[in-house]
Amino acid sequence: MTTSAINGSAGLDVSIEGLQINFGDFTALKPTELEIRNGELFTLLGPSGCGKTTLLRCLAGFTKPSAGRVRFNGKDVSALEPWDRGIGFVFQNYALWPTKTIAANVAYGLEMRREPKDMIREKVASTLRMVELTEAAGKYPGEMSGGMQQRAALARAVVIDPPLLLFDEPLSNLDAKLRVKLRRDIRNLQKRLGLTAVYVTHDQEEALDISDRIAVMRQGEVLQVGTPREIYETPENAQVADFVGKASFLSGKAISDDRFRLTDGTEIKAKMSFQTNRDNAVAIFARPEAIALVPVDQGDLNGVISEVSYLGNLTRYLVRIGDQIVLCETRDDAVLGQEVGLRLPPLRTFDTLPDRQKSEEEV
Amino acid sequence: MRISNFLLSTSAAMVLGTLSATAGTITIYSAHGDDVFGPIVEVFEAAHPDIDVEVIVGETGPLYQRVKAEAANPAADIQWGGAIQSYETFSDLYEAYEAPEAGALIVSDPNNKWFPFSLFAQPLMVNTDIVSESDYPTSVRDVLDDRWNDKGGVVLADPNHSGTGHSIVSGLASGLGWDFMTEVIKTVRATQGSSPMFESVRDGEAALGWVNEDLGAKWEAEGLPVKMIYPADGVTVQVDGLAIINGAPNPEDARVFVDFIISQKGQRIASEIVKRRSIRTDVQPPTGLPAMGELQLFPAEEPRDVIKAKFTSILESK
Amino acid sequence: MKSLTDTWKLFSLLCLVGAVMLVLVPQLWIVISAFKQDGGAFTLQSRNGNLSLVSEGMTRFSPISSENGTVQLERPDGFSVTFEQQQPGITLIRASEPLELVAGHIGTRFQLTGENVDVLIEQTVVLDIFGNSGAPVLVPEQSGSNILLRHEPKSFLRFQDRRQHFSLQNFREFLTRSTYLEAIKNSLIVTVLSTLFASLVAVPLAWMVARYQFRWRSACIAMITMASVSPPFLGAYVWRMLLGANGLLTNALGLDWTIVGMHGVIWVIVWLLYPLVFLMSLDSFSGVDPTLRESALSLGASRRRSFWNIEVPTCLPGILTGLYMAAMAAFSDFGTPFIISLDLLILPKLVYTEFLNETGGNPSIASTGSIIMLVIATLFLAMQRLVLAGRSFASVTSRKQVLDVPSTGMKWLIYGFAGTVIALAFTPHAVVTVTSFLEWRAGTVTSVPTLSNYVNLFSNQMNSVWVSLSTAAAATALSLFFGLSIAYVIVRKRYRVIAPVLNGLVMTPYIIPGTVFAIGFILAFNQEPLLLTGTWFILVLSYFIRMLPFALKTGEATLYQIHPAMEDAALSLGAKPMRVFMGVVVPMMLSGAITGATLVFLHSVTELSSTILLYRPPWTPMSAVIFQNTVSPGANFGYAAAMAVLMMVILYVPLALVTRKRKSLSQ
Repeated sequence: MTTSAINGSAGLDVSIEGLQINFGDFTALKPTELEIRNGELFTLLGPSGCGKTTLLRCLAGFTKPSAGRVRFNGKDVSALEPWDRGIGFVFQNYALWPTKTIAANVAYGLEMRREPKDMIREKVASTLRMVELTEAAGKYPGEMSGGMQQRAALARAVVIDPPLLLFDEPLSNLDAKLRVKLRRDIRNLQKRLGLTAVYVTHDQEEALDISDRIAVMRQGEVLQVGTPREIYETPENAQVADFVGKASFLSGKAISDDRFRLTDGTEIKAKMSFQTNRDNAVAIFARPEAIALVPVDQGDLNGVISEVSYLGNLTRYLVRIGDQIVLCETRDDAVLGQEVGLRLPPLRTFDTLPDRQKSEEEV
Repeated sequence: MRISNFLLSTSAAMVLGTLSATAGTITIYSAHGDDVFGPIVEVFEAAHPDIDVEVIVGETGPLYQRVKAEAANPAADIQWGGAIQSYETFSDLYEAYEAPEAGALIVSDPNNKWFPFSLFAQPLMVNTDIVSESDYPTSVRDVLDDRWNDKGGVVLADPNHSGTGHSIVSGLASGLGWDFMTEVIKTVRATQGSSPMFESVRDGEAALGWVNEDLGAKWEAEGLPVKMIYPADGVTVQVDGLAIINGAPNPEDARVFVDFIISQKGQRIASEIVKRRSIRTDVQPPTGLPAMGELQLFPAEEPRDVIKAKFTSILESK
Repeated sequence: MKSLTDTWKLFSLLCLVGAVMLVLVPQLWIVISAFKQDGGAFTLQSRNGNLSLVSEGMTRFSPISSENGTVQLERPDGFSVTFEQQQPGITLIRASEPLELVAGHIGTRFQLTGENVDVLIEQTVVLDIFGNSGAPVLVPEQSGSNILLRHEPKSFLRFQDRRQHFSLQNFREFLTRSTYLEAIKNSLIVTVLSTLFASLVAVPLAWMVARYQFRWRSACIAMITMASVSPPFLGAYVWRMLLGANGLLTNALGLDWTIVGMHGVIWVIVWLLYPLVFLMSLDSFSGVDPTLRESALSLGASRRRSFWNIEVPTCLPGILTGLYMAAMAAFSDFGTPFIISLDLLILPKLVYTEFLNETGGNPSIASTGSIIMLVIATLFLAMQRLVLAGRSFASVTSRKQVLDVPSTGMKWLIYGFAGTVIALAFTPHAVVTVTSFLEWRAGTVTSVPTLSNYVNLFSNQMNSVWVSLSTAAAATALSLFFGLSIAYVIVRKRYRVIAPVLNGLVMTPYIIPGTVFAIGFILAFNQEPLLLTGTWFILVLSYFIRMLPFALKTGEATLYQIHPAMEDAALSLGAKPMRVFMGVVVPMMLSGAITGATLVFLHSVTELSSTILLYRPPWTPMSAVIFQNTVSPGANFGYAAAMAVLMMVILYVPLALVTRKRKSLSQ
């Protein structure tokens, strides 16, 4: 009954069809379509308040949809209660029960399924071994570090062999180094078990590192779905480009297939992939590391270095072009105040500039 | 042993839901403490071995309200203590009984509902620790003097809350007039009940107040720093009583008890041991109290509601 | 969000029905009488063959004319009545509508009815104590549509229309009369100041105890919990004995002052209340996720800043709940002002005396006072809610609190502070213990040592120990079960109408004066099929309903600190909501539950104000025995003191067990 949604394989397909979630008058999730494939690690990425956690909690059954439905392997589970879904959930704050030992925490899900005692003992032991917590079985959560607690929480979630594992910012309470190690561990475990995972994070670096595919969300909407590479290299709009990785934008207007006039009148001649209809294009975008510094007049346009910060493997420059600033990260040398040329990669055009105010604090 | 007894009785009560008072037991709601009811009940039980007396002690006011709330299914047979005017106020709650000895009493209820238990004058009482002998009051008019101001002042029980207060205010008003009483009420600290009035003088919180003479006599005898003074210009007098509750579970034995209380035997104990003046003419007053004939006595006169309203309006105009 | 679980909703509805039956229905009489007013009254004096109106004590009526022995009065609704004395002792009563004599008992009073009135006429004559001149004359006769009355020529006649009308007059009166306004003002001052001082004592102390490891730490918690075990009235009684105008300490130190007055009320209430605030704050401070504090410290916040910016806000629900409970207890405490305030006007005392009054009192005004107290209490609750609203206080307490080792200065500060607080809080207990071994005479203590108080006690009153313990234990079990469950409904489920209504109903008994509450209980349970008065059950039921707020509020405070994710985790692992509650939530609420249970138990055993009206032998609890021997001015307080000591000893045993349990929980 609890794993009714599974069919043979370890994971399952998730279809989200026209799903909408309202809290009173507030729409937390606008009508959304998503397909999550069996066995993939799918990430919902976005700033806080974008609806990613709401969507995740809806998959778990904690929140009921206001409209649309969720299907597991084609079966509509929208009305199914969380305890009947058999899904694993890993929480941001671990949510281990402080009154139970680690072993008891992990055993809980199996006890709910009335598994035989021997089987529970074995399964708990093997799962703890898997997350390298064999030693900690008898400890209470309060006696362990955050990283150990999150591994215990992971063990608790996977011990019931869920076909779908949900992660709600599981690493955000941990320090940077541990985060990197643990996210690789999570991905390896997910691949080894072959289950489907949906992972919520606001950390774009984490999302790029861990995901098979990413859905970038903002203000209750999915902006783009794609592999990390697609998201990073071919963002479909300015918000995605800005949120994932660093971005350099220049505003102006496209005047032909290879010419763009900046707001101060400077014209740029560069190769453009017109992602937006040329008539609507008001911004051009490039990744800062793809922009090269060259001597004056030898690039696609000229500018003045207004800020230099040396980062070791490369140097970050802010280059003033008219009344706009472009970010450029390169190994090329230049000094403050120097006039330089910029050689641009193929540019993407968008019909809006990113809404920086809202995204700055999140990135 | 005790535990098992307890468990047994608990489970018995659970089965029965409630234990109705058995014949041979009377339940009394008493405003008197053990010092007053104890000796009398003891003698009564000795004289009537077939009757058990169970006493539940409470403050006068709550007891009336308890009897009132229980009226549909009374738990007690007798209420004891409190001014007869209070029994008058709540007279619907009590059963009429024509006691054979009613004729021997100095005061009785025309409706035969309440019975007098004892009689007491309400003299002034000073705290002798804070008032020197030369400053003792001699008349009620001395209450208005400034000399009490820095010693805690004068206390008087608010007749809105106290039967004793009613007797005092009403009696003094009838004897000395409302003009005088108005001055008194504006001078005193009004306590919400009679016990605070008595105790605040005893404990030195106030210099001067009125007291029920039986209590004052007891305190004087114990050597407490109090002195009763019967002012020459007037002393109020109060009668406190008892009554059989309407629908009492055991009315026959309750009547036996009432008969005993107003009997010469019962009154002698009240006078000799409890130090209460008898409401019979054929029983000597307790030793140590002045004879009633020597006192200028003012009984209560005006109706309660009038006294209450006058007191309040004077107090609020202060 | 649609509710996930119908089980909880069903449970909430059942609780709601229960609360209505046990709280609302019995107390309905208060609400009704607050909005009712009788038809008015006046008094006439008959003397020297003349009839005159007494201006005091007249309500709703006003005089039209008064001459030659004829008095005419009128009421705003047009009803008028005329008393015409035809000759001394014979008066004709005429009204604007026909009056009819009601047959029945006539002694000093008789009844008349009309279309708009139900009149009681009562004659008061001077009691002739020594004359015994026989029953006064009072003979009414129907004379057409009038009444011809023969009465004593020298008497007072009081006319009262007892028919009840809906009216807001009681509220108007309450909010305009100086007496009542004064009482409201004093109540607010006492509530605010005593809560403030109690929190100044309790919150810092709780913080120190929660943060630092020091010798006697658990003893300190135990002592403070013990201090909250105070037999009724004890604190006020003893402080007055020590610091009154003629008190032992006042005299010994040669002071010229008295504790009697508002300052004394505040002082005594502070020592009654601070354990409540302390225990709730301690639970909260101990529940703060140490990482929060550590991260604040690591970010360079000073200890003080981390305290004010991190710990206090996180602990706010617990502290505020403690303050709210304390404020409500201070607001409704009637025993302390009753003993120590002398002539101070204060709401609970006013309500008590107007309700439970041997002179008839003024139940309508008392009811109005109760409702005004309820309104003020609701405002307090709203304030608490407002501060807490929209803030998520949950902090997951899965990391263990590590107690800091205090610096030498801090250590001595803790010893000094805790020592002083405990000493002051225990003063009443110590004094009563000493006096229980002394002889009492006429309500005052002597210096003669004796064991007779105890001999007396052990030979007579042991049954009351079992009554107290069994009723309190049963009430505790009930409160715990319902308190935790209802707390869960209120904090987590937040059903739109049910949850707030349930919350309000459950909290109501906390602020209704116990005596008033008890009257309601008697009215509700004194008839078949719910004949419970005088039984063991009515005590249990009364303790349960009156102490449930302790269990509820401690449960709420604990729940605020349990992150909802803890429950989601269990739900996703296949546990249904009720299982989640029992298996996961309840164990986490245990520390709060223990605090709640302790408070319920202690307050049940020491409860007095409703007990004295509800108990009936053989179910006499210890508090009633103490009361019986304290109440009258001549009572044997030594006996009461011995019982109080016995009560304390008996309570300290379970308390010690609880403290041990708490200790093991925190390890």
